[in-house]
Amino acid sequence: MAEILNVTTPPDDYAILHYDDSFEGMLTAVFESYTRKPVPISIVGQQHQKRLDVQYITIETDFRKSERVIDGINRIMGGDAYERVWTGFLSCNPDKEDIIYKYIRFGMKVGHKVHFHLTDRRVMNMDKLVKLVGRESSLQIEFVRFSRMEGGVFYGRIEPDNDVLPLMMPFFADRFNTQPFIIHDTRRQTAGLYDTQEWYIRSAEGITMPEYSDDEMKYRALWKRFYNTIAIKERINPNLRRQHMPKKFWKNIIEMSMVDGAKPTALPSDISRSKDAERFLNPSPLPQDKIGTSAESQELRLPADTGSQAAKK
Amino acid sequence: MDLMDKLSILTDSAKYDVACTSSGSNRSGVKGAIGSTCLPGVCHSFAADGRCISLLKVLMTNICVYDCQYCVNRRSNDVPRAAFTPEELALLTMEFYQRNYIEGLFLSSGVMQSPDASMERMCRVIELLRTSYRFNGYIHAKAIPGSSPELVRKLGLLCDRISVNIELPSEQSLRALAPDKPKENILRPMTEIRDALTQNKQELAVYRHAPAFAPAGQSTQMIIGATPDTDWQILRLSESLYKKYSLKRVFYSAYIPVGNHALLPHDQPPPLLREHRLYQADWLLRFYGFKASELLDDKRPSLDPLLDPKCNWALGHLDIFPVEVNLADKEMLLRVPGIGPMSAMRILKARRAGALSFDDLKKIGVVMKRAMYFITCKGKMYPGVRLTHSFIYENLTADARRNPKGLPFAPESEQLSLFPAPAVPQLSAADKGGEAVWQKSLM
Ligand code: SF4
Repeated sequence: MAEILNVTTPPDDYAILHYDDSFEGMLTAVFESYTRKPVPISIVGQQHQKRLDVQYITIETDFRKSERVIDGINRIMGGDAYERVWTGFLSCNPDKEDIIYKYIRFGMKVGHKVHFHLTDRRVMNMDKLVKLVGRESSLQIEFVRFSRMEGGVFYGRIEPDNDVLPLMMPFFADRFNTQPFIIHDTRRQTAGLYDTQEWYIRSAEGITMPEYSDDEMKYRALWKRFYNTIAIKERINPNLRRQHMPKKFWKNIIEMSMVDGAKPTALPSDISRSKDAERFLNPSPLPQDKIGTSAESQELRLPADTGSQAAKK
Repeated sequence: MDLMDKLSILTDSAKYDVACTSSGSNRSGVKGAIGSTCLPGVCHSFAADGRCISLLKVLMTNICVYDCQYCVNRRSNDVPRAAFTPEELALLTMEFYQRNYIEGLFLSSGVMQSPDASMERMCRVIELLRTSYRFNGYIHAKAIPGSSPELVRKLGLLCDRISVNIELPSEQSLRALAPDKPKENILRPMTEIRDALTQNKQELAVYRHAPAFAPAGQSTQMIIGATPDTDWQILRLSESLYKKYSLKRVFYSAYIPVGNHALLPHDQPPPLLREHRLYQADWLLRFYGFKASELLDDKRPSLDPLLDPKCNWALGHLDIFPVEVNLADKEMLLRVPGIGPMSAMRILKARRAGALSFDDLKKIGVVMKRAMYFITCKGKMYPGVRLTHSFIYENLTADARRNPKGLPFAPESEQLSLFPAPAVPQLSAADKGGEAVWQKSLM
C-alpha cells in the first residue's frame, strides 16, 4: 500500500513538518500538528533530504506555542516525560524528531500511563534514544580529561556523537565549584564555560586559550605512571578494557593517547594558542546579557528554560 | 626519592586490593569546596587488566612490620620501600581530581611501627584534604587491624567508606598465614564501625547536620584461591558478614602468587572464573533474596564453572517452574534466570498496559537465552522447550562445553572439570584443630 502511495503524485494530506533545528522549533511543529487535519506524518529538520512525493510545510518557531507544548507534556505525560523529550533532542539520531513526535502524540493520548507501555514501538524508540544520549553523557563524564592552563582555568576536550555538553556542564559545575573550566566539543565547535558562578554554552569560535601551566606535564606523567602500574599483569585483559573504555575515546584520554607513543595532546588549532591574546574568561567574548536569549539559543541548542542555567546553586 | 618513584612503589604495592569503587555515597557540591559523589560511583579509566580505576589507590607506606604470607608487603619480602608525606599525597590527590582522572582517594597502609602510628598518618592526609583543600569528593580508607577505637572513629568521620580486610576465608587459614593478625584484631574494628554506623544513623535522624560517619558504609575483602577454603565456606562467611556486620560489600580477590610460603600455591594462574562466579553468587545474596544454603551445601561445596549460580539453582528446583510471567510476583520473577531486578521491575510496569508475550519480554530486556526454559507467557511454554534437567543443562552449557575459552575470565590453562580440586596445598592437620572457622566467631 505504501509503495503505491509513493509512486503516485503526492496527495495534499501527505504532509511533513519542516522546522529550524531548534528545540522550540520542534515543539512548535508538534503544536501545529494538532491544528492540521489529517495529522502530519512526521517532523524533519534541516538535514533532511527532501522527498518528491510528500508535501513539506515549513514551521515558524513560536515560543508561545512551544511553551504550551512543554506545559502540556508536563501536565498530561508528567515531568519525566518532558525530561526525556529534552534529553532525546540532544541525540544525533537523524530520525530523532520523528521519534520524539510520535512519542509525544502517543503520550498525549494515554497520559501518565505512557510509562507502562514499555513494549510499544513508539515508547521503545524513545527509550533507546534517551538511553544512548544518557550513556554517552556518562561516558564523557568519566573520560573527559582536563588540563590546567596558565591562570588556573582547566580545559577539557570531547568529541561526542550526541550533543551531551548540556548534560555535562551542570555535573562539573556542581562538582568543581571553585574551579573555572571549559569543555570544548570539537565536533560541534561549541564550548561550555564555567567561571565559578554560572555556566553557559556558546560557540567555540573566538575563544583564545592560554598556554598549559608549568606543572601540567608533570601531573600527566605521574598519572600515566599510576595508570601503568595499577594493572595486575597476571590479569591482563585487553578485550575487557576495550569493552569498558571504547577505543574511540582514547585519543582524548591522556593515559591512552600516549599509549602508542603519541605526543602529548596539543591544543586544537581552532582554539588558538596565543600568549598576548585576550585571556580566557575575559569578559569580552561573551556579553553576559546575551546568554540564553533567543538570538543565542539556536546556536546553543538549548531549550529556553534551561538556556541560561546559572549553575544550580 | 622523588615523587614519581614513590608513586610507582606505593601503587605497585596497593594494586592487589580489589575494591576501587566510589559507590554508596551521594553528595552534591558544596559552595566553596571542591568535589561531589554519585551514588552508583564513577569509573574514570580502565587499566590494562580491564579493572575500573575510580580512585587513586595507593598505600601511605609499604613499610610493614607484619609478615602476612600472602602479601607483597610482608616484612620478609625483599622489595623497595617508600612512604608518602601527608602533604605530597594530599596535593597529588587534588591535582588528579581537578583533572578528572579520579573520583577520590583509596588509602591504606602497611604497619609502620604500630597500627596506630600508620592510622595517624592516614588521618593526617585525609584531614588535609577535607580541611585545607576543602575536598568534598570520595574517600575510602582501610582501617588497620589492631588500631585503637578512637582512631577508627576519627577515620570514619573523615571518610565515605571504611573497610577492614578479613583477608582469608577461614580462621585456621588466617592463623597459618597471618600470624600477626589474630582474628579479634580484625573483628573488633569491624564491630566498632558497625556500631558507629548504627549510632550515626540515629543521630542523623534526629539532627540532619550531625557529622556523617562513613556514609557509604563498611566493606571488606578476602583472598580466594590461596587457601583450601571452599566456595560454600566463603559464601556462608559473606552471608554472615552482610547480616551481622551490615556490610555494604564483600570483595573477592583471586590470589596472585606473590608469596613463597609452603602452604601457598605457586604456579597456579589466578582463579578468575571462580572469582567471577563468587561475585555472581554474592549478587544473588544481596539483590535477589537468596540464602547461601540455597546455592551450595556440604555435598556440593563448589560453584559450577560452566553455569552461573542462578541457572544452577533453578535447575535444582525445576518443580517450582515454569513461572507465568504475567502473574508472578516480584520475588518469584527474580528467581527466574535471565530476569534481573531491572527487568523484573519493567515486567511489573509493562504488565499494567497488557499481557506480555515472549516477544515483549525480549523488548523489555529479559535475557531470553536463559529465561526461555523457565517461564510461560499467557500459559504457554516457549516453543520446543522441555522442562527437564538434561534438556536445559545441555542447552545452557552447550556454548561453554564447545568453547571453554568463551567463558568469562577463563584463561586457557584453567581446568574446566566440573568440580576442580582446589589447586592449593591442604593445611596440616594441626591447623585444622577445633574446626574454628570464621562463621563460629561471627555468631
Ligand atoms: S599487615 Fe597488611 S601490609 Fe602488612 S604484611 Fe599484612 S597484609 Fe601486608
